[in-house]
Amino acid sequence: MSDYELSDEVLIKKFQDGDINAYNQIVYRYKDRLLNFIYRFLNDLDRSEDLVQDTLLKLYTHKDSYQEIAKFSTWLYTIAANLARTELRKLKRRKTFSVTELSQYDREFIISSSDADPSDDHLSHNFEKNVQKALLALPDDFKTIIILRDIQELSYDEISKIVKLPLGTVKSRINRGRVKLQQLLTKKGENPY
Amino acid sequence: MKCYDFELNISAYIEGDLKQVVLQSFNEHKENCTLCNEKLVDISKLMDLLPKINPLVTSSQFIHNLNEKIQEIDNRGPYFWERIMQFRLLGYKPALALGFALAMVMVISASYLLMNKDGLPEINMGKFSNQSQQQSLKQFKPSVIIPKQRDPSIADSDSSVKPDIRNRYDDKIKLTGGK
Repeated sequence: MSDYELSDEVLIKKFQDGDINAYNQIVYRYKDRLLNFIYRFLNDLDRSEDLVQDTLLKLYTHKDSYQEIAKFSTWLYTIAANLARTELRKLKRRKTFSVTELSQYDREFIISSSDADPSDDHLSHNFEKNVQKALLALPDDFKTIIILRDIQELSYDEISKIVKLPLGTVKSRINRGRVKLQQLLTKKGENPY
Repeated sequence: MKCYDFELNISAYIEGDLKQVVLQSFNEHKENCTLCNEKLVDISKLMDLLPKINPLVTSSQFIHNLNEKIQEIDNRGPYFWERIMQFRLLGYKPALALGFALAMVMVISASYLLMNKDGLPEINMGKFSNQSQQQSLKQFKPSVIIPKQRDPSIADSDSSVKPDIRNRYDDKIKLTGGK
């Protein structure tokens, strides 16, 4: 069986036993997924790519920390989420990026697009921009969970383990997060799609 | 159902996770409240669109940069504590066992010291007590001269010691009594 067909858990086991090809396979599997996850936090592609590298380096140096009691993806997303949150805190402290400015619900970045078809798989650039801005304006607690659930499409159970919250809390936060996100997108009665 | 409760159950409704008991009142509210109905439509539309956001792709330099960082780590070699953690003796990692042994030694030492109040091993002081008392009396040099009690066995010729008043009366009494 080739490395492409192996599960994440088998690959990490092989890597723990010293197989560097297994590590490479994990990198190829997760680099883009992690980038999409971290970018939604930071809104900075270069910095997000650096953090993806840091996450994969942590995997490289701390491979023995993983134990097969949890799903590998859960473990890796936990590392990425922690790094992203730490970076976000640093950015906030440096004030190079102001979330408060974004949360003024200024709609100048949300331009309605009447010709965009929401059923289309290729979403309008405006919609993506609007969603990104609205996500950044969400409080951190909601943001992480919404990204994991609605963009990364992880299960509630996995999210619960990553954010270390009970399943019920995760579900209620996801609901509240979606409502907030929708409010941010439809502020001033414009169509965000 | 009120609008607030309706809002709390929107995600559960869309994901088909709503209990039958709540579902009926949810549907009733949906039919009667236009605003809540709109909210439900918007959120379900959003949930539908979010996973379709075009995924970002890492740059062509990503793997190259990562490999460089990995090489840097490999060349640097493990830190001292990492070497200790990775040290294997007969195929086993003794770091944990050594840590446990060290902790046990510390616990035993601490309990030993606590049991001996002075922090010293228990020694039979009985045989040293008389000797030490005598030594301490010899070493005792008071800065103020304290009058000694008159001892009938001591002769009156000892002029360096002044008898106190009470002793003097005692003497008188004794003398009188003696007469």
